[in-house]
Amino acid sequence: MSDQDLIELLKRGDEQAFRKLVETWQDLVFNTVLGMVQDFQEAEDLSQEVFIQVYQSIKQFRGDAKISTWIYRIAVTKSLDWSRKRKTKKRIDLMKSLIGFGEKDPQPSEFIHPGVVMEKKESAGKLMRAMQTLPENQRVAFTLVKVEGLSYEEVASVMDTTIKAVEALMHRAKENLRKQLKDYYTNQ
Amino acid sequence: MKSEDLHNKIEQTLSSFDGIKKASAPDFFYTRLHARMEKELTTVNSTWIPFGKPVWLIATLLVFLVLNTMMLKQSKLTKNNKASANTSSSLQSFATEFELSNTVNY
Repeated sequence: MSDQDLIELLKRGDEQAFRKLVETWQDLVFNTVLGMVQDFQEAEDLSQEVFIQVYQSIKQFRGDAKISTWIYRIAVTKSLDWSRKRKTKKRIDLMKSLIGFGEKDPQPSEFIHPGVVMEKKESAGKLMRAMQTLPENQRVAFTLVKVEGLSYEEVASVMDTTIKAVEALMHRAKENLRKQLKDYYTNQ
Repeated sequence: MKSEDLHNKIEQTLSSFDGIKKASAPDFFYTRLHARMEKELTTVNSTWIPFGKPVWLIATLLVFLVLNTMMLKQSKLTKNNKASANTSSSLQSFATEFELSNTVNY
C-alpha cells in the first residue's frame, strides 16, 4: 500500500489503516522522542500523543511533505513542548526551594540510550547530559542526525530549513558540546 | 588531565553515538495507544457538549433568569392594562347609565 493510499484510508477513519501507520512509524517516533526527552516513560506517553495528533489532524495533511517528515515534525514539536514545560517546572521548583516551600528537584541520573554499544555507554551518558544544555534547534538537529541517523537533507526537510542551515546547526552544536564536556572533564 | 588527553576524551565522548541502534517502541504500544485514545477521545467528546461546562451552565441559568424576569414584568403590565381597561369600561357604563356622556356647556 502506498503512502497516498494509506492517507486516503486514514482520512476516511479506517482503523486498520491507523494501526498500520502506528506499527510502521512507532519505532521512528519513539526513538526520536526518547533521544529528545531522555526518559522512557515520558517517551512512551509523548509517542502516544504524537499518534493521537496524527489521527486528529490527518485531514489537514495535504501531502506537501512525506508522511514520515510530517510525523517527525509532530514528534519534535511535542518533545520540545515537553522540554519547555519541564524547564518551567524546574524553575518554579527552584524558586519554591529558595523561599523555603518545597524541595529542590534532585539531579536526574544520566540517561543511557538502549541502542548505544556497550563500551560507549558511560561516555554516551555524559554526551546525553551535555545535549540537554544545547539550544533547541541545535539539539533537534544533533538528535536527528546522531540518534535517529537522518541525513542533513532529511533533517532540513523536518526542520523546514536548508541543508546549509543544518550544517551550521551541527557545527555549533558540536562546538557547544565540546565546551560543556571540557568543563565537565576539567572540573571532575 | 593533559591537554591532549582532554581533547581525546572530548572527541571520544562526542563520537559515542557511533554505531548506535535505534530504540524500539515498547511492546503492546498500539494496544496501549488504542486504549488511551478510546478513553481520551470519548472524554473529549463529552466535554464538547456545551451544557456540560460550568460556564455554559451559568450562562444558561442567567438567560432563564432574564427571560423569567421579562415574562413577569410583561404579565404584570398586561394585568395593569387589563385592570385600567376594566376601570375605564365601568366608568363608561356608569356615565352612560346616568347620561353623563353628553357635554354640558355652561
